[in-house]
Amino acid sequence: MKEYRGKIRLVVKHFPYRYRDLSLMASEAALSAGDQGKFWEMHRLLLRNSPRLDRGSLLGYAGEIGLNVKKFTGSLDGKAHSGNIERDRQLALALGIYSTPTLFINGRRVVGERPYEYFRRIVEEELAAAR
Amino acid sequence: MAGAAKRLFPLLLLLAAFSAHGAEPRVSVPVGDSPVLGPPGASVTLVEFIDYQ
Repeated sequence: MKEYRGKIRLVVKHFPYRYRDLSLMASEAALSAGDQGKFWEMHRLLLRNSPRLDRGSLLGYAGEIGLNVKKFTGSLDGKAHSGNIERDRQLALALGIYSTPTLFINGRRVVGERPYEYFRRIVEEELAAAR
Repeated sequence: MAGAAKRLFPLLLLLAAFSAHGAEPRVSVPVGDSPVLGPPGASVTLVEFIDYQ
């Protein structure tokens, strides 16, 4: 989506399935990295390395992107962001989301992974409508 | 007459929302304090619900 720099805004919400412990911990890791200004760096690593999301791997990723690992560990183990994640989860349930990824492009729902061209077409339509 | 128009207006608005993009109306998703990449004034906002596992 680099071609739309300046015209598009990406918001990430977390919807870890309840029975997936590693998924929940990974969301904690991303938000904990965010506390140190590196949410997106961690986000990319998690997507690239999934499903390697055990605690040891997460601590490794934290070191890789230059986080204060001690602080990161405290936040991760203390589940510092469980409130934010639960809020996202409740929102997802209220919106009737049943699988991930689910996207909303200016409110238009797109469920599941799609080819880039599919997103591009919707984004182009939205940009044209905004002109 | 004015009363009838007032009553009809929300219905028309709803119809417009439905017909603009097929069956599903647009959903308003609050950004809240979630991580954001890109300018606040962007004309397209993409909200993604993800699961890392």
